[in-house]
Amino acid sequence: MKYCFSLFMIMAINLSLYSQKILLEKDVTKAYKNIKGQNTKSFGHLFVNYGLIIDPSDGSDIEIKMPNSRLGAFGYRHKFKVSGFYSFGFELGMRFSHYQIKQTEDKVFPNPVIHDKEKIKIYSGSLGLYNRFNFGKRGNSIGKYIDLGGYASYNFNRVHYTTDDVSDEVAPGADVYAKKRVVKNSGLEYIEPFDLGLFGRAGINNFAVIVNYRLTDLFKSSYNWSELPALSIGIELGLLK
Amino acid sequence: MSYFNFTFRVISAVIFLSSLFQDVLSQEKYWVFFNDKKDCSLDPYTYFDPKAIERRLKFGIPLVSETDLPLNSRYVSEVEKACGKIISSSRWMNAVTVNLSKDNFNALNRMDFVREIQPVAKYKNYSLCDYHEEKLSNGELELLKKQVQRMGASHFEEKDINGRGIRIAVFDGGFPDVDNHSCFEHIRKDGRIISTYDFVKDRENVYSASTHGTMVLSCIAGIHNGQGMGLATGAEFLLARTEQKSEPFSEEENWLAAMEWADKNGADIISSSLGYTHHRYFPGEMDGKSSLVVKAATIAAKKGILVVNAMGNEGSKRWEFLGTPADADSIISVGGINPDTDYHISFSSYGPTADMRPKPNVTAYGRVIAAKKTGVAQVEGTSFSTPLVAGFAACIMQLNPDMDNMQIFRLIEQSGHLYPYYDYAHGYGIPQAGFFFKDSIIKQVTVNFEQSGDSILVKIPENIDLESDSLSHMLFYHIENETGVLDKYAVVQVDEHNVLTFLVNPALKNKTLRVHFRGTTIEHKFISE
Repeated sequence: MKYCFSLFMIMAINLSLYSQKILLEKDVTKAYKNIKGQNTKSFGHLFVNYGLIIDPSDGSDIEIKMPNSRLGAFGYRHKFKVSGFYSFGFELGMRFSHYQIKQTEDKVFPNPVIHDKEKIKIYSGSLGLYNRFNFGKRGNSIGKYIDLGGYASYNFNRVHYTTDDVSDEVAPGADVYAKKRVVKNSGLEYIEPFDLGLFGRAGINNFAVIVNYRLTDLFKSSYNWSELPALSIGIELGLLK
Repeated sequence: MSYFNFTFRVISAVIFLSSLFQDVLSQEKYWVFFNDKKDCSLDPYTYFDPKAIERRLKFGIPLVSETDLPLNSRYVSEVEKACGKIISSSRWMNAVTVNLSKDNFNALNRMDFVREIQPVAKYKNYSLCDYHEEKLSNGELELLKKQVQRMGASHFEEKDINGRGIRIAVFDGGFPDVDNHSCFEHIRKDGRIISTYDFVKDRENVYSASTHGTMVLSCIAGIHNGQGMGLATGAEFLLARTEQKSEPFSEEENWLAAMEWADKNGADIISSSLGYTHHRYFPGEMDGKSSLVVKAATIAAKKGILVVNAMGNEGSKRWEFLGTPADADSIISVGGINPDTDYHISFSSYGPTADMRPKPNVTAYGRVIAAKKTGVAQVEGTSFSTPLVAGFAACIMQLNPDMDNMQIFRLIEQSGHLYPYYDYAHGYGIPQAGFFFKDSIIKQVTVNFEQSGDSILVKIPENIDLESDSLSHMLFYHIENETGVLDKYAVVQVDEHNVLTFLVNPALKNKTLRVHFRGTTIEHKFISE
């Protein structure tokens, strides 16, 4: 009703301008009303994060290279404020996980063949739900917070890459010369299509430290490998307006 | 995965995350406010600079008020005993700052002399630094002259008015090279930097850190190749470093401490280009009452100091409105003007305050030439509009030595090029030195109303030249409601003598239309029938 009145008033105040150019025009009846922002009832923003997968070196038969193994995501996050201390929300995003496999003599995953480089890349669509706990006085800003939540993701693209130096293997007189051979195996059957995990963030306004922990097994139970590392730590940039 | 294994993973993940985040809950800096100043006393003649005594005596301000008294030493030592080192203290706020853990917080809350505990806030400096090469283009040289001439510098020059004898305190992020930059040679030569203090490092040397303060000072008193960059080239200065860096955030305790220091050292004017917006407040709290800095600014005004503060650079951002302490009613809040168009520069924050008081009070150029570490550069921000007005204020104080800060405040508003017209982007406009030398002002009616039936026509008389490029083509108008608050305001570029027509209707009942064009302000009240 108030809006209708304001609109009516502005139209009613109205005037006809001759061929003049309006350089600046402000309707003050809306000032300090309908305030939007980072610390209002509902707020959404884009985010991007990047982290390193941490190998606990726990004697597993799969070892990964650090810091070459990494994890990242981008997406949209929405927050619903319940009180100054507590909010909850959801996030939708795309994630990637790259595991670079160490090439050791006793390597078994996914086979014993030694390559120059070997990677497992997993691309997922993910939905997360989180609880947010805010600390300290703040105005219309995100402020200091801790998020604790969980995610479910669908691994829509699961790829195994190997890279080898083949410059010595080219036969004399062959038409094609190459220094590297990259082999890509996609649609990996041994990787589960769904993941569940926990995440946590500690942040101040745009920036946060993030931790992800995968709860479910990455490999199907019919394969007898130990698991790839479940923990990653990284940083996040919130694209706040 | 077995149920046991899954549960184990969940528990270990939660433990890991909890341990990672425990730092977030660690100590934070707080203000601890005391109830009273029982048994405290002060000898003003040993505490204050003679100029501070002079200001108090001249304007009938008590030599010692409650806010000047030192803190109760017993309260301070008990807080220190409970929480460790006192980081800073404020006589005006009757408070100390300390780092508190949750346990300390609860212990302090139980002390009977503690009135309130609240976190120390951070503020933001209003600059948009846009460095250009040292050699100024012709356009930039022109701007250097215009930034003072637009306020009527020649009137002051003719009468040798340059802020002589007026003491200006400048709060900023550092003043590197003020001690050797050629733009400040005249100030150094006369020994007019009276005192300096770095509240961040707790030392006297302020000639390091952010260049922002150097740029701001130049807009009050710098001289570049014989050209004044500000109007108060003859003033004397107190320089306080209150900020860690120019752009990010620093703490209000330094600003408060600098306020008290400036008062103690006899400041007549405080020029400050900081403000708090969304990091600490909601727009609705820009009401002149909510923030600690607005309270401090108001105390300074009560002690006879003229505080000049920037409106902020949020005009084209989501926040849009002014930051605090620009919302204080007794300080001059300064907005920015675009030197190319001579009206509001897009980034300059808008008024009114949340309780609908008009702000800004006045405006000045928001893009200027200022001194940087070496040479000069073009910079933007209401940070630089503010010192231009502070310099103007010093000249007005020199001209009117018997007027107190609030009289000077009103005079500066009245000297605005739009006065008595105002709006929430321009305030009363750019202060004009010519106002104080009235002989030089020639009044000519440049706009009028023509009423016919149900319409009001705003018309520029036929004898007014609308072809000349050297004269303003901007017409300002606003609609003020019955409570004195503007409903709407606008700036229109005029190309025809018939500018606009208002259709009289019930929505305009009891409202006032004001129009300003080239120095003439006219008004029409829509009377209820």
